[in-house]
Amino acid sequence: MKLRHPYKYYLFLFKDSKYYLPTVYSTIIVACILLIMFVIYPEIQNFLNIDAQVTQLKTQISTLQNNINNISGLNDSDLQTNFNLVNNAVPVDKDFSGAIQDISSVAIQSNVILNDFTVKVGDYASKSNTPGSSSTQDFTLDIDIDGSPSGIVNFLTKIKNSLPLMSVESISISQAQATIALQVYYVPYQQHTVDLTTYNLSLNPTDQSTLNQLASWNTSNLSPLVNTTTTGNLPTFPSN
Amino acid sequence: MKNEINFLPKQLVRQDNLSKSVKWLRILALFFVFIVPVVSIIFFLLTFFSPLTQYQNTEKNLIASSQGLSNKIAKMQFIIDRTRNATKFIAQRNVYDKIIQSIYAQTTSDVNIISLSIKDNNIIIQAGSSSLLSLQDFEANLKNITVVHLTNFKTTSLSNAGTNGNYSLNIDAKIQ
Repeated sequence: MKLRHPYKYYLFLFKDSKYYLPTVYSTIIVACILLIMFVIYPEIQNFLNIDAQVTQLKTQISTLQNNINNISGLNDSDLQTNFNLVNNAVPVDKDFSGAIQDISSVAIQSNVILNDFTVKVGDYASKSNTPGSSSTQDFTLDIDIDGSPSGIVNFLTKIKNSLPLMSVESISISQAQATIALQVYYVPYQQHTVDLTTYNLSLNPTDQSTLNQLASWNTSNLSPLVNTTTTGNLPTFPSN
Repeated sequence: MKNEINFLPKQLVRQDNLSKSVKWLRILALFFVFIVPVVSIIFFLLTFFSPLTQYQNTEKNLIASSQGLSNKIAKMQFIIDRTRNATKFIAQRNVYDKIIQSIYAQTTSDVNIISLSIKDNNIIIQAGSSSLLSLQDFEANLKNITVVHLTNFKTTSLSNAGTNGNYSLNIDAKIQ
C-alpha cells in the first residue's frame, strides 16, 4: 500500500522517536541565539548609544547653561575695561606708536634718555613655535638709551611691568649707554565661532591672575608723552 | 585498583544519558524563551522612553537664548584668548633686569664693568680693574649669583694692553 502523504508518516515516526524533544529544544535554543545576535544585541547597542548621547547632551547643556549664566552676569563696563586691557597687552596688529609711547614714558620714569629707535618689521608669516592659539607675530624695536647702570636696570624692570608686552631680545651695555632690541608681540584677530556647548567661556584662576597682573601694569598708570590712543584697530563684534 | 563493573545493559545507559541531556536542553530552552522576550521588551521600552529628544530640545532652546548675548560672548572669548596668550608671553619672555642688576652688584670700588652684552641667553662681560686679585674675586662672585643659574663660565682673555696699566677680563657665560 502506498501512502498518500509519506512525509506525515515520517513526521509521526519522528514524533515517536527519542530524538524528537532534543531536536525541538535545540531548535528553540538556536532560534533564541539568533534572536539575541540579530535583534537584542543591536537593540542593546542602540540603547547604549542613546545613553551615551544623553550623557553627552547633559554635559553640553550644563556647560551651555553655565556659559549663559556667566555671560549674563557680566557687567558691560567691566567687560569693556578688560577687553581694552588685553588688547593693550597683546594688540591685534603692529602698534608702533603705542609701543614707542610706552617706551618713552618708561624712559622718563627711569631717568634714562631715549636717543634713537629703529623699528624692524618682522616676518608676516605665523611662527609655529610661538605661543597662543592664533598666529603670533612680533616686531623688533632697537633703542639706544643713555643712563647709569641702575637707571638701565630700572628701565628694564619698568618695561617688564608695562603694556604692550615686550621681551628683551638682546642688550648691550657699554659705559653709560645701552642698545636694546625689544621684541613686541601682537596676535592678529581671527574671528571664529565658539561652540558654547563645549567651550568653557570663563576665566580660570590663572587667567584671572594674569588679568590682575596686566591691570597693575596698565599703561594708563604712566603719564603718556603724547595724548593718543594706544590701541591698534579693534576687532568689530556683532551687535546685540 | 580494579575497574568497577557496570551490570546495566548498554542501551539503558545510553537512554539515561539522553534523558539527562533532554532535561538540560529543556531547561536551557525555557530559559532562552523567557529571557529573550523580557530583555527585548525592556530595552525597547528604555529606548522608546529615553529623554534624548527632551534634552535635544532643551539644548536647542538654550542655544537660541544665547543668540542675544553674541556680542558679550565674542568679547569674552577675545579676553580669554588674549589673556592666555599674555600668560604664555609672560612665562617665556626675557627681560634680564635681575641678572644685570646682580652682575653690577658684584662690582667693587676697584672693579668696573666696561661692557656687558646679552643675546640668546649668552652673556659676555668685560670687567676692568687695577688689581688682578679683585678681578679674580669678581669672577668668583659671578659664579655665586643666585637670581639665575650661570653656566659654561669661560675666561676668554685677560690683558693689560691699552688700558693704562689696568687689567681687562673678558668672561663668557650662559644663562640657564
